[in-house]
Amino acid sequence: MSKLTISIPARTSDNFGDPINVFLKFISEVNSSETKEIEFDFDNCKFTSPFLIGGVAVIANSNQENGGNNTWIYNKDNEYLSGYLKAISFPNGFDYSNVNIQTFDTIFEPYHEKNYIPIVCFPCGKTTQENRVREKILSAINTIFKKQLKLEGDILEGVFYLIDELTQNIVDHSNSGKGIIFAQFYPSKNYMDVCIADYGKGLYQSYIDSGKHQPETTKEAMNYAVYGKSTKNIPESRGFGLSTSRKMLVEGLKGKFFLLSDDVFFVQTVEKKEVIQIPKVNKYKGCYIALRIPLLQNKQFSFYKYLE
Amino acid sequence: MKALLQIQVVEEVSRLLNTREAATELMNAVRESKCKHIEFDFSNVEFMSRSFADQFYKEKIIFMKNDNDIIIDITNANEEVVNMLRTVANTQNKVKRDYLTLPVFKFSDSEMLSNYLMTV
Repeated sequence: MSKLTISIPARTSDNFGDPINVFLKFISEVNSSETKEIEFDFDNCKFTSPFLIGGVAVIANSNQENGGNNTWIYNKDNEYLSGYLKAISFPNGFDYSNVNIQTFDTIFEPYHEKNYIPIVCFPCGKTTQENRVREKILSAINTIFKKQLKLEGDILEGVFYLIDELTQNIVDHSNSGKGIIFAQFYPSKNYMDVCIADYGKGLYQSYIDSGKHQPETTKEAMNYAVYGKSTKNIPESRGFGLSTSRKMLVEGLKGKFFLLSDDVFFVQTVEKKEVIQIPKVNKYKGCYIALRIPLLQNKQFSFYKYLE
Repeated sequence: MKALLQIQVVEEVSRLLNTREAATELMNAVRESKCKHIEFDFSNVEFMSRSFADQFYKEKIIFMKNDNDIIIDITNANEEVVNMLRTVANTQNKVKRDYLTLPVFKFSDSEMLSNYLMTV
């Protein structure tokens, strides 16, 4: 069977939607192909976005988990890119399996002086060991953010909140073995891009399997999710994660929120809040979240205002 | 006088409290104790997520329902932790939430989808 080559573009613009658009094209290429041999070609790539890198990482990891094989082409002369990809542990992410969880903070210390975190795969299972690993990983990631962003008060609480709630959301509903998180901070532009994704069963199936709410369509499932209708048979005090996160990010911090699952995505910015149904060929099985978090100290922002 | 069990949360979990499961594990650690007075000391805890706080609150209520004699104190929690615990306590019985049917736009053409994404 022939292989599928996915060509990473030379660069994507700073526009929030541009790398997401490229990611959707890659999904379309994968969905249109029957091969499990995927070649990721970075030969022309000069700079890339966390939204694209995170997307490529989930495509590659999902293919590998389904028995496929990934190959990689890099331009050896582009030392900047190859060094960066190595530093972020691309594509498989930081491997916690053979590491003492008490040492995560120490291992991640070199990132305190960088503008990015490595790609981190976190376990989504519910065993005691997986829970402990996830707790320690999130603590280590949030510590990196604290050091890198040099923020304090409500805005730092807000960043922690977004990371915790959105990763917890994946753990609660994805049925995925692992989730990934990756982030890049742009000091000159005063924002941070964060990509959180899984390759699980997606929102619609999660609702159907839970027997709760029973959406009729994927777009209805998306609407339920962003308004906090939980997929779990649990008290209504849960299920706030997505709802409060997007409000806090967009209404409070003036950022941008994007959530893709199945053949729909939800986007919320200061200007728009809507669900988009996309061609079936772009369907993504799992959840993919992109956040643009402005990091200017904003005295108007009150973290607790957004906690329902 | 009731025997006192003091738990240093920062030692049991960490400075940043993130997941629901960590809250459950923290409570499980004291569940077997014979002590009737439990003090969770949050000294040096910098952040408590909503998930952790919500689970901690729920576990605490169950614990106290199962044993009317038990006293659970929270000490040395910073303002953020106190605020988070207060918030989850206030939302435990929230049944009605805002719900809005969002506008849906459909694209069957990739180019139009690309054009849309460039406006986000």
